[in-house]
Amino acid sequence: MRRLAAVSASLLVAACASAPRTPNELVSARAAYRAAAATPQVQARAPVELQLAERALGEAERLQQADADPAMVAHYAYLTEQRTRIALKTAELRDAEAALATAGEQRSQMQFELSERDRETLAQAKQAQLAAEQSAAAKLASEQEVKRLQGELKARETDRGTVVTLGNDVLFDSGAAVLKPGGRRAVDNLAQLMQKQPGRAIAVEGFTDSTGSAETNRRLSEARAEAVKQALVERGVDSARIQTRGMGPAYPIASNETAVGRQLNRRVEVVVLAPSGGTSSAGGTAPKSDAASTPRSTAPSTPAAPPPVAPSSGGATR
Amino acid sequence: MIDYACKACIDLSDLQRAAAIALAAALVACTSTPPPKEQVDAARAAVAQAQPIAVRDGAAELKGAQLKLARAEDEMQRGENANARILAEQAEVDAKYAWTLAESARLQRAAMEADQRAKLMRDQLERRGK
Repeated sequence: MRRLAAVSASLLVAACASAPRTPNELVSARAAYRAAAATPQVQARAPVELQLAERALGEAERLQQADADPAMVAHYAYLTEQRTRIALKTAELRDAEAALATAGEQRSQMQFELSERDRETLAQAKQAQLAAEQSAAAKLASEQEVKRLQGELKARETDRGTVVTLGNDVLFDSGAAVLKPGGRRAVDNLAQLMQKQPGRAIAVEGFTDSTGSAETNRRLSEARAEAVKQALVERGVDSARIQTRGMGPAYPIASNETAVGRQLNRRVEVVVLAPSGGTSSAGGTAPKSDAASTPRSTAPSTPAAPPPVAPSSGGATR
Repeated sequence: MIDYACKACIDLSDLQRAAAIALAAALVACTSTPPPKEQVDAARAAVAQAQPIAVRDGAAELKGAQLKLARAEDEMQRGENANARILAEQAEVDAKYAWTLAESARLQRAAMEADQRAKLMRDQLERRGK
């Protein structure tokens, strides 16, 4: 009984040993296929290729079970391994395709953004041009306003600048240095003109006729120039821009022999001096042009007088 | 499988029958395998598809496929159809693998370049944004 058992056991062992051994090719093909089939990326991106590998593996297993020619098992195992590799690479290929498509999309998105920015830049440039045109129009309007005010004030252009002459009878009562209501309108226009030309220095010069003591006249003319300055400052003109001088009976513009002439001589001259850029040339040409263009030096009592404020105005505008 | 084998070795008549069938099948296979024209054609097509692109990546795999295809054609001519079929089938998968290697490398390079271009454009965008 024991012997029989031993014989049958040895028989069993021998039989099992002679049973078809799984070839290495099939073992490695199985492992490769299973690893690939378990990868979600491959499942998703290369299902057809994976299926072909599976079919080859199935054939290899079938042949192995049928104890077919080991060469055929090895052949199908080889096909399984190659098809598995193809599946893995195909998954990479599809990934690259997707990345390429994404990059293309991003690029066209950015191209769109770039063109949008270009459009914005263009719009901004147009806006700027419009603003420039508007400011040019505003400047023109302001220049026209200056001209209008100058016309209203009967301003004269000289090399020193714009000269406005105001008759004292409009501005002051006889002997007084307080502005009359009638003078206010003239000072209003004057103040507006000066506001339109900011940065320009202003000289206010008072003059009298030759009646009475020269010293009294000089002081009166100075007080009146000062009164005009105060009125301008009250209307918003920067006081630092304004210089005053009392000239008394000097530089008459008409004869003091007649009542009309004396009335013309009693005056305040307001000079909006030429811009600082032209001071040096204005200083050089002032005496000559002054003599030529203003009646001051041609008046009988003041032969070849120098321009009254030119030296000090040069200092103020520098 | 061991189960099956052990059962087979106990049941001797079964084993004999299986052996007889296998032998018959082998004989039939040896004598009547038709020329694997289809497989050889498929291998040729796969090689032709891979040839223009498998220049760098997949070049070695393509070379192997070409050798196997040549041998398959040879074997088929000599009437060794079973061998020819095996070689043709392997040549086909080798060529397909060569093509996949080359194509995936090409696309990966293209994707990288596209990425770089996108980066350049992003830089441009940021510079203009300032």
